[in-house]
Amino acid sequence: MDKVAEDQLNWLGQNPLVSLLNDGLSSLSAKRDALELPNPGTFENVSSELTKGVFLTNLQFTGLRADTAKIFGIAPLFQVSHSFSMGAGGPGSLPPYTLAALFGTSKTFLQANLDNEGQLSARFNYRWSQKSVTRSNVQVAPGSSQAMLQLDQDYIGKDFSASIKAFNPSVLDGGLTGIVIGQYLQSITKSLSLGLEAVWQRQSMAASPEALVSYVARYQGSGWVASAGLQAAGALQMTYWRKLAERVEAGVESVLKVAPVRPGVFAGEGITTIGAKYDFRQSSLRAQVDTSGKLGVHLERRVAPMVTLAFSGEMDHYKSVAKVGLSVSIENASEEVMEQQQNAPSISIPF
Amino acid sequence: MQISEETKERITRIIDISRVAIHYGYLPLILYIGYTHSEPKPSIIRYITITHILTPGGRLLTESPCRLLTPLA
Repeated sequence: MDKVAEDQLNWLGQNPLVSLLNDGLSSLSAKRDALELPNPGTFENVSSELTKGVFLTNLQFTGLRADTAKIFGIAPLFQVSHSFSMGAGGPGSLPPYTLAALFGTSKTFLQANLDNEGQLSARFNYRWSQKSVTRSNVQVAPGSSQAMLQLDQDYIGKDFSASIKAFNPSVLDGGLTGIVIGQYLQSITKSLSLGLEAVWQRQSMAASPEALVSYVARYQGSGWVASAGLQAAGALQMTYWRKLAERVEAGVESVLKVAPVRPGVFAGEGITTIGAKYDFRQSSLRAQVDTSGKLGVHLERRVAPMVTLAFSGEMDHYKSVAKVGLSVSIENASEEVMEQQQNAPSISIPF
Repeated sequence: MQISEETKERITRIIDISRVAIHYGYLPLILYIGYTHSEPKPSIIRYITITHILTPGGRLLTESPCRLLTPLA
């Protein structure tokens, strides 16, 4: 019976049209492989050498901070940490106490952060194959029925990266609501890559959906990276990063925003930031200054194998506001785990 | 696309329950998975026996075992 059905369906795969299409596709993919284009990295990391490596954006903090982390295992990774913070104040500051636990194998990554107010931030990532990773992030606050859910599917191809994200997707209102973002970055030559981002959002069924498209380009030379991005809201971002010496990196970022004040009248503003990073044997120093009068510095020093001290300072000369932060972080692991860390082969955890 | 009221209510309830479950259960779940899967297996309470302590005065003290909780020690 199966044999008969197979024979009957044979014409589907063997007619001239399908084989022509198959040949065409396989010769196209062979030609594409022959170009030997590298993977361009992800859309978000188009300028990560500068914005994540040199600039202080994610490193700056105020007040006093102490972190203590205990590592229980390397493969699988298991770590529990306690963070204490004081004197921060203001929105976006760290809560006084946070308990965090993370567990990671080569396929899964689980993380939970719980602060003293009961707010939970949970992550679960799963690697389906070498190329495809699904990430999820849930944020729950006590006493409120509002939760934040983010789903993220990444695909890392040979010469491209694609990802689709969804924030609070829901169909309960009688239609799709939430935010959906699609990103695609493709290598064009060995050093040039172009990318596209499309954002679709609909807050509620009463509101009409909105769609925005942004474009980026990235050029990677030997020891330097230049990127440009045109955002849908009318902002143009240009970056240039260069490795000046083995332990010195520097870069400049320029953001120009053009926003309509009244129909037909546009107002523009621009901010340029220059930053540099020096790596020393036991410490690293980052400094940046921008055209809005802000001067920032971040110094991190490893005083003992498991103890790191960090100092962070920011001065806004136009508003005459200054922020200072000091932190100490202590890592702790038993001797067996430290031995394991030196000997064990590193596993790639889908962070 | 139209969803009936009953289904909508059911989905809302499932979301509510899973939100509470994640809120109170996710961190303990990670701790449980970590404790059961880690190699070497961590102990919840560890005893460290300090036998000799040299005081600044040069006297040798013998201390009783002191108990420490592993997440901090």
